[in-house]
Amino acid sequence: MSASILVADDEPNIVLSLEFLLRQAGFRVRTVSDGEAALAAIAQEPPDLVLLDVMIPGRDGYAVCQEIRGNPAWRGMHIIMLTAKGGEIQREKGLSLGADEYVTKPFSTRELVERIRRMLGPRG
Amino acid sequence: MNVARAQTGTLTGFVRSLFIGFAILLAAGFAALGLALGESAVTPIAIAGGALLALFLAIAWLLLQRVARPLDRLALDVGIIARENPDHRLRLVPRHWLGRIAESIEAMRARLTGAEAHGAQVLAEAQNQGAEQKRWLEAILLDLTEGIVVCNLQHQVLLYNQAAADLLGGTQSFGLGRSLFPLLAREPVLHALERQMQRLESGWAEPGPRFMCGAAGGERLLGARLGIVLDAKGAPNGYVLSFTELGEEATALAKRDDLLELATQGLRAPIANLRAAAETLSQNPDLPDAQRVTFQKVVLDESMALSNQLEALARGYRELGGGHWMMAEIHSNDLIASLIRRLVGAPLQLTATGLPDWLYGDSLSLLVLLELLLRQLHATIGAEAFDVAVSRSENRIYLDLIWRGEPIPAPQLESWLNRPLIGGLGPLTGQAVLRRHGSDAWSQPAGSGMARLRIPLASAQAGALRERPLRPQRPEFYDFDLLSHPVPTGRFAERPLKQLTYVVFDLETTGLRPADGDEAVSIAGVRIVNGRILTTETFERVVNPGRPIPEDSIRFHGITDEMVSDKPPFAMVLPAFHRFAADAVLVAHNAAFDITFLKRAAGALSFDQPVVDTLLLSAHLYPTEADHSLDAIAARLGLDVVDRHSAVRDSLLTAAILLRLLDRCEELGITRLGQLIAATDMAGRLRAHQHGFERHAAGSAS
Repeated sequence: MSASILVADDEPNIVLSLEFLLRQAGFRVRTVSDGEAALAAIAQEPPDLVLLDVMIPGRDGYAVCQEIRGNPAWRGMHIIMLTAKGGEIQREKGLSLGADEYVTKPFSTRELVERIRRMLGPRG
Repeated sequence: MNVARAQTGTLTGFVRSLFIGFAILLAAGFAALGLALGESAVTPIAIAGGALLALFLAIAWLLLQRVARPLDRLALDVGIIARENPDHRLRLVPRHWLGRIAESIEAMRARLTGAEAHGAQVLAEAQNQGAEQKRWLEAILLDLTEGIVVCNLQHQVLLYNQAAADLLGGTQSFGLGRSLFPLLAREPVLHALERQMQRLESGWAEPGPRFMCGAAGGERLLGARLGIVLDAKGAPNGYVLSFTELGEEATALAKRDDLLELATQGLRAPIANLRAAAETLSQNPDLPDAQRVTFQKVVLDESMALSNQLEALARGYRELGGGHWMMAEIHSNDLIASLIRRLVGAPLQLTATGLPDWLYGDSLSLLVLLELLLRQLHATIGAEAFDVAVSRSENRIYLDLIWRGEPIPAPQLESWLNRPLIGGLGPLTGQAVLRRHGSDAWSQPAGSGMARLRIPLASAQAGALRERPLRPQRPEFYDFDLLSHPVPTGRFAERPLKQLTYVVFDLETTGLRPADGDEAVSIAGVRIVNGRILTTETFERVVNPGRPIPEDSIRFHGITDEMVSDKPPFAMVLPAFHRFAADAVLVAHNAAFDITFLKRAAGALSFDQPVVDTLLLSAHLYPTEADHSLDAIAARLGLDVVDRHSAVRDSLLTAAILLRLLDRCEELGITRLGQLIAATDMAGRLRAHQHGFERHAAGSAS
């Protein structure tokens, strides 16, 4: 079975591209647009990787990230944070709270997909 | 006054009654004599008696008229001159027997009047001058748009200008001699005063940095500066506050921040949308038409949005003036000391750990924020003991609150930070304080069951750039009896290296040759407990070496003969150091040097705990490096200590180096003290051998 990815972002235009490109790359993709929905989707079926926007409504990306890392059942889940907050301090905060990668918007979709492929191994 | 007049009133009466009494006595005496001598003698005796009595009465009358009465009148007049009217004329009784006394009194009166007139003139001149100066001052103060208030140390207003009255809510509530505080927030002023006093004590006379201060019941935010007023003897007796409204400045700054946010973050999202859609389109030439149209619409919409944002950005940029937030250099020790003072009485126990450093920020808002966080942490998780740890990573200073327990969930921390802060800072929230410092806060595990709340702050370059003292290049000392002799036993042997207690110490000396009579001039030490440098648990003593301190050693340690003249000898402070180091492993850089001085002066005290030499430990761990001086190791490990107290600076630096070297030991499987000492021992023998060989080689070559 192909690896699964949860995209949590409230910008429909970026979700549109990410969903298309990731499906095209062979991943199973689900999308949510706020923090609570993200946690619910993860609880329902833990994905292999979460693409997590920091400034989603409700629980923000930091909170969702901390929650994922606080649950031993979800150990090994990859988290890539996407954000329009470009500061070094925010990047450090993201990584300190357990993100594997911190990607600042705008970014190259091709590079992002490549990075996800590398993280998830040959399964994808 | 009445008493004096009553006394003068009695003089005439007293003289009169004296003479009358005497005359009656005289008459009675003659009458008795006549009766005793018989009738034949009456007539001559009566005649003689009558004549004598008449003569006596005449003299009495004259004395009364010419002396007693004039004296009484004189006393009355002099009293009037002295007390009521300096121009009062002396009304002398004619034909008095008081001689030139009246002239003398007149002369005295003339002098008195002259002196009085002179005094009045001087006073008037001084008043004129004072009034003139006051007019000048008023004119200057009136011209200033800055509010100026001068207060004594009881915070009573001694002087203020119109701008101050306007900014602080009108003259009716503001007045000389009244307290400053209903009008200006107490806490920021007291804090600035306290900081300025501290600066004054450490010899900084210039006015302090700007600080924020609420006014007029919290409606207004002022940017203020405080300077201490010294009296003639140089002791503080008041302070001057100058302030401006921060409203406009704050608005301008907020605008600039919005603009910057728009320029950086605001543009990222639309550009990301645009780029993703465009890349999708270009990389998929065979896209079905329906999907192609959707992506093309994204490209178009986002391009339009971007153009509009860019316009707004350019407009905002043109409207923007200058200005920046009020930040100042703060020494972390001062900040933590103030925090501990603020929390006196709270059931919280704070321990300062890590390497003290200079950071850049607004002292009070950081303090209020830290206090809020500590109180919330205490209320939420019940922890009472917190470490306040300072560490540096490149140009960033981390301020960590560390406790035993779980990290705080991000939403909870967020909610604490969204509350308005107390403490006279107007409507600021914790989040706003963090944003102002270009910072953020988060909570994460800190290992071994501990958690931390981290606030990264900018390091203050100016503090770091302050002149660093020279460090003498000491020859390396090897004394294996001293170093390897105490074999670790008991808890020293069993516990992991990081769990041992260490005392890292450093001596300054008159020279480098203990064998030739050089002596210690100071000793300083810090403690490491559970892998944390206890920043404030330090030992610092200057001692009298009992011999002149050579010039070329003074330039390294700055300790002069004068400074040690009233200090005890080294041997006398050693018992205190012995207690300080009692349960700890001793650590020093090039330890044999320091230990030699220590043991020589120790007398009956025994320093028999294990000793770790960071120089030899570094030589063992990094055998390919040539330079193992304190500075070279610090530079390699990226460590620096910027502390005003140079006495503990080297100890702090050595302590930080030790902790990093212990990390490396752990990686290499050195986990117990016995292994570590054996390893450094070997390194020492190798180095001694090598140096001996080099010296020998150099000697034979010359």
